[in-house]
Amino acid sequence: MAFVEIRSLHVSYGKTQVVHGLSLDIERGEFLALLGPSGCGKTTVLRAISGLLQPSSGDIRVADTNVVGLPVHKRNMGYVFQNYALFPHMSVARNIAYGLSMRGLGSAESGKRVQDVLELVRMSTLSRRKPKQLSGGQQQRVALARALVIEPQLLLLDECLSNLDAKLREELRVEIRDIQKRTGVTTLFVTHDQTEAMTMCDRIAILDHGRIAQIGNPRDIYERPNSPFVARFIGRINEISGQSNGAGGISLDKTNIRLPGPVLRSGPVLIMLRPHRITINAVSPAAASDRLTGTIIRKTFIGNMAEIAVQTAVGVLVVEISAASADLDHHQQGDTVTLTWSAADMIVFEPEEAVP
Amino acid sequence: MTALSQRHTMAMILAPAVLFLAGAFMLPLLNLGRLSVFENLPGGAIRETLTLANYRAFLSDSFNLELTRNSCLIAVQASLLALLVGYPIALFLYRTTSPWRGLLLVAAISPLFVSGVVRVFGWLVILGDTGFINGGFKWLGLIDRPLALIFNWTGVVIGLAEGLVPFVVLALISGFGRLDQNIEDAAATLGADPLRRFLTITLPLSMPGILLAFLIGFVVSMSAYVSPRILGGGRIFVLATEIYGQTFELNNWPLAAVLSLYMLLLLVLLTLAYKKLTERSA
Repeated sequence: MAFVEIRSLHVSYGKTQVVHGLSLDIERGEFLALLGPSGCGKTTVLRAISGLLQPSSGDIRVADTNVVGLPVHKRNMGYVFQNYALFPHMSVARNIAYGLSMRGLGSAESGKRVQDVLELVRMSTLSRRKPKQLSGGQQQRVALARALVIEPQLLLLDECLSNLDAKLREELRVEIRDIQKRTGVTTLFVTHDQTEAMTMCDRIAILDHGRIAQIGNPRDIYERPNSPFVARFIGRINEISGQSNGAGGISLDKTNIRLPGPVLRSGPVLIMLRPHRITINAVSPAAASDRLTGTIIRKTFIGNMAEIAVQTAVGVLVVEISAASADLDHHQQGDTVTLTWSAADMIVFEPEEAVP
Repeated sequence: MTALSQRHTMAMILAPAVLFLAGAFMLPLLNLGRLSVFENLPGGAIRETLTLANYRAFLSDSFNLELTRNSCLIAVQASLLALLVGYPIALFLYRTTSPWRGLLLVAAISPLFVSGVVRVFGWLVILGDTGFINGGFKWLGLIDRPLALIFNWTGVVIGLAEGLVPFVVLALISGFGRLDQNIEDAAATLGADPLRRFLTITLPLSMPGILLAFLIGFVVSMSAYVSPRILGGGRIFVLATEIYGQTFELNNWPLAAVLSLYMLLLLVLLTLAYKKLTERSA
């Protein structure tokens, strides 16, 4: 039985239903990301778990206790807000001690725990500062310390890195993951940033319109998305329409290229292909008609790799090649090239029924 | 735009306000200063010879000390009462997302639309010996003899406080800028129940508003004349009633000028104290 079990959670704002029967398990000690585009209801889920918001129905069980009836101040969950929500009239130390004093902890014990957690977030020297005397990253650390010091049964992070600049965000990603591993606190992290989710978390739950679209480890979700929505949401992906012959053969529309693929109902299919899975070659004289050829229309250098857009019969396909590759200089805009890929790298879906 | 021409533009924008204040405030004030050093003759005549006699008369009369005490005490009590009544109203108005918010705000400040004299007569009807409150209490059998709610200290404080509520509500709302629902939510997740949330977060964070409301309440009460005069029944003496008395009953304009300047000095000192206090907390 999972440490946190959410079952058929429904949340509405007035007449608008935001979360539609969401179910989710979080294992003890796990760092789980709730990832989704803005407006998909992820913060709402977090607020419902914390008790800041009352769900219209559903169960939230933590360590086998249903917490839905408990008021927020009795749930013992640490919550880090997007804008940190530090108490502006209190010093760093008093901000952190707040939760402990609410628990009636003596000042000696409280002082020691505040010191420990300040060390954990590397803020010991700034304990007497007021929040507005701190940088964004430091405020973030204090907010984290304040949520951790109460030894919450569940730590909830709400887009807590999105107000920081890119460099600091990268630093804090690593730091927060380390702190999570060291304290072992079960953590639910809400974000719209897939890189954040991938680099920090053990598992990712993709949220779409108030439902879990897919849950799994970052690699699974990236390599084996279970729907075109997830495939498009995580990383970049090329889309090619084709036909399944119903016996494991797939042909690309507008070409006479046939590839082995999964056995699907015969009829139209959607083929999805990660840009780095495509190999680009100069057209060889031997290029047969069963190869996809095209013209380079754009080449973009992005530091460690380059992105090459190729106009083909099946549309524009984007190819990523390592910047270290010698091919980078060979291919110029206007060149005619051949694109190849391994059939196993294709992610093939039957067309989405909901799409008109 | 260069700094110089920017300064010119600023000066031009401010000019009407400066001219208005000079005419409507500074000139009368200078006149008051002039009046305070002229000699008062029996029968209300004024001789334009310089004298400090009015200041000497003011300083040697211990009754002025009592007037100061009364004025300040009434102002403090009325402001506190108005804060007590106005704070929940202001907090509600600040937080509500009701479409009626605008209308409710207007309702809260509607006493300002009614002349002070009319409001005070309203209180006569409510607080008088046969008024709503005494009548109601009597009907309920809570009292045999009417409570003395009017023509005394209590009546003045109640009447003043009611007039202050709109000011207090507006000042509080403008001072609630630091309140942030997230901050209170954070306190809740850390284990604070609603009462402790209010005491440790909401109240301290609304301190700027409370101080501002208190300052405005105090200043308005100090300078109020109608409420102390009518609701005090002629038995409550404060600086404002004394200034009126010296001006129109005793015809001693120079002494009235001294008293006016004295009251102005008190309010300036209070404003400076407020500034000091808010600078420190900021």
